[in-house]
Amino acid sequence: MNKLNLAICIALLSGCGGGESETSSSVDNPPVEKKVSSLLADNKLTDDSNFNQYKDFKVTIDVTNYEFTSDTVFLKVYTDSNRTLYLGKANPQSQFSIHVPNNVDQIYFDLFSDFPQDKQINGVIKL
Amino acid sequence: MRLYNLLFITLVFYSSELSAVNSVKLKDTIKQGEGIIDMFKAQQAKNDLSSVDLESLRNAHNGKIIFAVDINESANGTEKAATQGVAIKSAKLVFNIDGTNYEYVNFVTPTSSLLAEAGSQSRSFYYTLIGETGSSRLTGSQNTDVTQLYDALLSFDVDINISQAEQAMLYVELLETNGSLGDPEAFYDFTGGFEDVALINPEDARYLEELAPGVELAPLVIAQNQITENVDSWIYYPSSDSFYVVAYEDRYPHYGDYDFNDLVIGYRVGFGMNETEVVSLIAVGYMIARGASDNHDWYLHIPFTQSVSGDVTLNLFKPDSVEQVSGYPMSLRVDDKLNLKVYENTKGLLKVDNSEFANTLSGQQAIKGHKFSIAVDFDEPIAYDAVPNPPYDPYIHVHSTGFEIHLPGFAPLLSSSSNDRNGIYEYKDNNGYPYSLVFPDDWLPPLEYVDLGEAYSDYLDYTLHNNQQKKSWYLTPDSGKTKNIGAAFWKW
Repeated sequence: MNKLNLAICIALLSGCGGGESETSSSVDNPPVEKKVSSLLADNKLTDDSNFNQYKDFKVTIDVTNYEFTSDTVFLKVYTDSNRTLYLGKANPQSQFSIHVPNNVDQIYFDLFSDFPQDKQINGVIKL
Repeated sequence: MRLYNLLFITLVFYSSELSAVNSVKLKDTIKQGEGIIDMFKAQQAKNDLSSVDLESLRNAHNGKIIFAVDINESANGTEKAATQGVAIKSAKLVFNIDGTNYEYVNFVTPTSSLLAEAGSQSRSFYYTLIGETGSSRLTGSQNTDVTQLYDALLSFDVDINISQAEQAMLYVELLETNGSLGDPEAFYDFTGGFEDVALINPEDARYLEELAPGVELAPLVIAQNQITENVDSWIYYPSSDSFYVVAYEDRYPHYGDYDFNDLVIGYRVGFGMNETEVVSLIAVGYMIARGASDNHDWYLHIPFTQSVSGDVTLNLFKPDSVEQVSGYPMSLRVDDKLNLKVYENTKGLLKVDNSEFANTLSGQQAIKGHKFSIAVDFDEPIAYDAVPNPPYDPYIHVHSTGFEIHLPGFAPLLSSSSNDRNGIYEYKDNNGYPYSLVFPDDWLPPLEYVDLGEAYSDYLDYTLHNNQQKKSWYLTPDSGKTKNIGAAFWKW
């Protein structure tokens, strides 16, 4: 609580300084950019402020689109930093959700099988 | 291949002829991926085996020589406290009888995977050896060193009488996987340690085969038998090797100081799938920082949209150790809600002598926190649709105030807590800020009394602009305002 009071006092003092700047600008000095506080304590939020750091995305991969000889196909879904989101057997129409940081714009997938002649498929999914 | 596996399983489970020879730990080990193991040399010389003993074991296994391997790798890739693995590139048995070498290169283990070798991106079939970390084994019907400590089985068909063998050697080369691809390759990387090897009798082999330590939690396991076929895929949140970092202000319902370091915990959750249903769950996490005078308990609640029940194993590891805290691992039952008290008495767990705080002061040496892992086997498969949205409901119970503090929207769960049950569970102060926030694991905790917005000057822009600006705000901390303990430090 003491910290909050201190922050309020600082804010009030800053407010006084701000008034002086406005006066100065009226006598042809260059405009001074108003410094906006980045402190949470100085900023009251609206109800619709968003605190999410992650986004949901539903991944759908239709394995039947790819011509695998083997009935057992495996799927790996991962980010560009090789962080694995899904790993294991792929269902014919694999569908699941991922939860990645908001700054991730695309993810990748590998499809591969236990049949040596099946080629591994690599793909990209834009989020 | 399947016929061979079937034979292997049948022998392990139904061999009625028990060997008179005990399982024996061998002196030689697999080090840094290579093993040259003399089967006549035991760890203790008094237990050295003779060629007659080997032949007795072979007969007891109906023509097989079976080894047990104790996996001692560091947990790379899909780091889970209870599981670790290596892949076998080649293995060979050589018996020298009357000056002639008899070689056997066909082997089998209960598990395999598809892996890319170092330098390659294409995946091929390899047998694997999977085990669990340290002394986390809960049960053991046979209390022997081998059944308590060893993990995986390696089996060879041997079709000659070896009672006259003058030399009996096992050669093993582990696969160097392309760990840069992440899992599954990173998981099966062998660089961490060495593996002990034992010659094992049918009774102990059957026990380990049934136990299959660590197998259920390992990634991309292609099981060779029915026991370990339960999970065929894993979905990880946020990923197999990253964490949600949840940070609390513990003065609810009063204003806090916005440093969001009163308690900081990293955690991730994985769902084990069979086809399209969830059959098991794992969670792993660490204590990161505690900047509070108050004491708390930390809970992890996974709010499935249906009632769930199952068996839970809760592990709690001492900092930077495979040794568990007294009383752990703990076996629990879950009925209805998966709501677990993971860290009890956070102040007692993460503490620095002569300080109220841990890992939130600039001049204080950082310490590592306790690690937890949770494994849940559900009684009945759960439809994937019933899986809740991450990051779930990680919450604290503050001892001094009696309040639970959740992410916004989650109802209190503890009958003993002070929270109102009014149906409105915002957990926000009058300025509109929650008392707990979840960040990616690149985030560093602010120092004591440093406002989150001072530690990260872009945070408010991100929050006020509906997350469309400054999306990487947490990658540019003010180094003088944050505690430099990244995931590389606290994820030990």
